[in-house]
Amino acid sequence: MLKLRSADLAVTVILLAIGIAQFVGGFTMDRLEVRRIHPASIPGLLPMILGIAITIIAGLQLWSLVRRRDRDDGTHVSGLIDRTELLKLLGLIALCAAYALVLVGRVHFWVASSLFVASFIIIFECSRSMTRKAAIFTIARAVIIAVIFGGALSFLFEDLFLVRLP
Amino acid sequence: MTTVFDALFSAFANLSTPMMLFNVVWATLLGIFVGALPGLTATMGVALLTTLTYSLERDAAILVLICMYVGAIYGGSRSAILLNIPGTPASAATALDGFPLVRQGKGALAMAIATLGSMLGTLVGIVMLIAIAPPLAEAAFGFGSYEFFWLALFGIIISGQLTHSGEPLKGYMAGLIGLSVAMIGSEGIHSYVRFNFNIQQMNGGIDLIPAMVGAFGFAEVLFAMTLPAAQMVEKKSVPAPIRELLSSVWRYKRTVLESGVIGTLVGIIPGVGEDIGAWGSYAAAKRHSKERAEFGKGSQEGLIAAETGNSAVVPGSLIPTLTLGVPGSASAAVLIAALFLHGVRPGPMIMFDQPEMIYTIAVMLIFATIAMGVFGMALTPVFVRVLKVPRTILMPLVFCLCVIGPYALTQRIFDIWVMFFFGVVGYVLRRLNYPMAPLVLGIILGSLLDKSLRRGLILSNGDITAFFTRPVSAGFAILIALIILFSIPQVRRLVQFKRRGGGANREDRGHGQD
Repeated sequence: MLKLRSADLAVTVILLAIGIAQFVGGFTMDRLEVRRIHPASIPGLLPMILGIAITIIAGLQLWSLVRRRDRDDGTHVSGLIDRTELLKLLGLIALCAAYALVLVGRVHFWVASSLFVASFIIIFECSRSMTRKAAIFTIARAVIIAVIFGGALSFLFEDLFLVRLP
Repeated sequence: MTTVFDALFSAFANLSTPMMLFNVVWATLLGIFVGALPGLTATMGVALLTTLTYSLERDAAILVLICMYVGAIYGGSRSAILLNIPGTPASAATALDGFPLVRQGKGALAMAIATLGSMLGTLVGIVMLIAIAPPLAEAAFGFGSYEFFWLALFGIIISGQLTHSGEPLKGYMAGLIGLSVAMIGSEGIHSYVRFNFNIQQMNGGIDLIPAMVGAFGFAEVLFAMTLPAAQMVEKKSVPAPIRELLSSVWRYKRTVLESGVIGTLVGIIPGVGEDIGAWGSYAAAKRHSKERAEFGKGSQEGLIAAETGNSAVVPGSLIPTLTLGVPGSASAAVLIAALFLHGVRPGPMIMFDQPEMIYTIAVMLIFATIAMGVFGMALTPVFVRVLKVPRTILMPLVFCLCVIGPYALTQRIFDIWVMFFFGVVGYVLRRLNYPMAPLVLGIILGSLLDKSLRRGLILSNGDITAFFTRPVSAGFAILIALIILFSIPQVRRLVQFKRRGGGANREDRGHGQD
């Protein structure tokens, strides 16, 4: 279970750190004196300003979150992501990552896409309460959709729109 | 006036080839389907289609994208009316009165009203585009670094202010995150590479399309699969008699005009999208209506106001996009990237470099509107069937398109990683009520803001007061200061207190003590 307020707090702290890091990054950035540029045109100028702005806003947000503690005043994000939803979300991200970051570029695109589509449909449609016949039907349907879609996608991009696929 | 009609006629003649009309048909139809399916947004549709239009010639590519944009914004009304789930955020106000009409057995009438409202809204917007864009471009021709600095900043601030849901700081923060993303890679004055973290692919910066496809496409897939599904209302509806439809629209002609103007004006404001246009028009119509009590319970006036308002934003958002190079909405931000890809340079120079472009785009919008009207009236049963496609089948297909889209443009696996990163980050931020429009606007406007700031400082030899002394710059600076001031609750309360003369509050306090 994950409290959205806690996630909000964590994200705000991360943004605060990013703001400080960006200011430091902008401040320590090469000022290109060797090239004799105008001092007002140093590359780190806007990053520094943005760093300060992010730090101030994240600080205000943090102050507001801490001040209200657990009181739900209706102006801040509240609620919970329950365990089932969290697991579903993480599983979904892992499945998408396996396709986009691992399979694509390593195997032929239509094979990767068909594998992903079939696995996605099977994982999210099949359940333990299903009868054997229904499960076989769902799997067969998933495989057919996946193969047709993978092929159609490859044809559309490669042959019709002349795009080289990964 | 004759020149305008000549330009429109010439654009009409150029675009009226069988191939172009075929493009209008398929792209508008695809747009309506994209908009109708919950989880697919207009921005995502335009972003994904941009990758497919890479090999098309300039006018065909822009036509396809405009048709997708118009179709998708309209298509959102289908699921808003039938499912009570807006297909796109732009149709949220449509659901308020469209869904109750379906429950009353007037689904066909509701969809016909939405179609006609969308058509009229787009037409009002097109008229304003033709009237406003050329003089605005000419006025902006006199803009220098100082004005562009404030314009970029104004875009971020107003977008953050108008798109947040209860927490203005998050709106501003989203804009700042977008600007920070734009700081990655080679900067535009000295070609110095900033914040590349020793990753060579980041030297050129983060491309907008992979970031947008991630934030609007992949994030939508995550949302769609983790939130509960909606059930379609299967109530049998009586076909809408044409006379009843026309009399409804005629009765609310003032609302149509008012909503069209409001929608277009909202579209002109940088980074403020169709949803604000719909809500603004809906609120105005409710305020002025004699049937105020009916709003939210199946009011035909409410439905027409929402649909006219959101559709008018489309041409409205193209006004700053074309004339200032500042996108009027998130979808228009993708259009800017697409225009650059096809050799069109949006900005004040457009009336000098490509003066025909504004009129060509106006005619494209007219074509898309006609196609939208025809499909909207004729294909309702098909849309109902498409809406029944389960998310478990639709979403993996959408994700495959999200993967191939960014790759198709640059042929770099790195862009797929960028898409994935922005998808996850976009999901987390949206879940925590950070609006996405200012973030996208920040990525687009970051370079303009950076270059304008530093060029302005070079011109003034480091004197910051030069940013406040020119009339337009001073106007923008005052406007920005007021927007920020009024987003502070204490200031708002103080102003309200002063407006009431302080009496009401004192009275309230007095009663409290009793």
